[in-house]
Amino acid sequence: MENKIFNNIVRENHEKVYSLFRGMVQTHEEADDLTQETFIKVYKNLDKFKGNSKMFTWIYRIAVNTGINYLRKERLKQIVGLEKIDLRDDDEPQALTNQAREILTRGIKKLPAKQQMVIMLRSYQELSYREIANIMDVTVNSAKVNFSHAVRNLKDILEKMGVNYDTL
Amino acid sequence: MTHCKKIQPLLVLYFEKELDREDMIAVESHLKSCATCRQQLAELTALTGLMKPVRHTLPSSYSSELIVQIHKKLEKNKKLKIGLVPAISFSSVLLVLALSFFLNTPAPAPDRFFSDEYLLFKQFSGISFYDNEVIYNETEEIAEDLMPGDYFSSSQEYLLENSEDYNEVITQLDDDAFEIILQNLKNMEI
Repeated sequence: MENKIFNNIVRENHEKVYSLFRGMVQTHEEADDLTQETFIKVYKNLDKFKGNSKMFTWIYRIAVNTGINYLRKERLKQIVGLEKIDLRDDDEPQALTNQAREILTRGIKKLPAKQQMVIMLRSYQELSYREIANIMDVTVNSAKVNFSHAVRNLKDILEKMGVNYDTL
Repeated sequence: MTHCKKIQPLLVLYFEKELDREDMIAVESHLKSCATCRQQLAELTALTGLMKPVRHTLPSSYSSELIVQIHKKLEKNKKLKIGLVPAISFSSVLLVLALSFFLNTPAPAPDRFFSDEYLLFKQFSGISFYDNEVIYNETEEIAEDLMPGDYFSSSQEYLLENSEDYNEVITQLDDDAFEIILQNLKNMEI
């Protein structure tokens, strides 16, 4: 495969991929690593791309799977007791901060991986349900139900964290 | 109240105007007479209103740097692969033979058991990668835990039993199924 073609693919799609991950992780370095990992998979699998979907959809699918895998590895680390210690996590009263976005990010991080991804795609990437369905390989109706389920779960999580909607 | 339970799962899609006509009318009609669901709708609307795209401006040099980094890693992977093939293939053969004996099933593809998740798990457990006896004993337990027929859909079971790519299997699992595997690993107390 010619590197020139691949390099152009990276140039045309890297911002969307980076932005997906940047909404999901805390640092530029993590988002950068995941972006690299995604394009390495793109490089290795480019001969399998048959053109049945748009290149953008195919790359997004690889990115979403990479993201799910990352989130699940983080969860695995939690299970074996090697999670990153976040002192602000869990039971600290939420009234101490009025930074809504930060609270929201902490709530989203508590969702299961696929629910996090569907929120990223719908709310932060503003994709249509049809695009989300293609990327996550589900029906349009399932994409809608999954998003609805994720938002309602997030609301429950935020309530358990003591979030008052008047302060958000 | 029973009606509320039917309506509340529809509220997110209601304000997104993604419901079909029949559900749309049902929700509208219910909201007129139910303060609780109106409150729920207001909170869900406030919540989704906060989840807006954040624009991260990348420096113009980022794409060039990214391309350089990707090619460096691809080159490194290529060299690593050439160096590791003899060592991995020998221990893989031992592992696959042991597994086929224990599980009485056709020999699985070796990389299923040398996936990132498994290696990660090995790394955390502090057991040497080349300790084959420990590896296949644990792998046998993991393989059993991965196939408790009651928990997985038929398509997930098919994936678990037939996929040669363990990473792919992990990625495709439903959130609930993944959580079950984690709990199984946790209960192994290694």
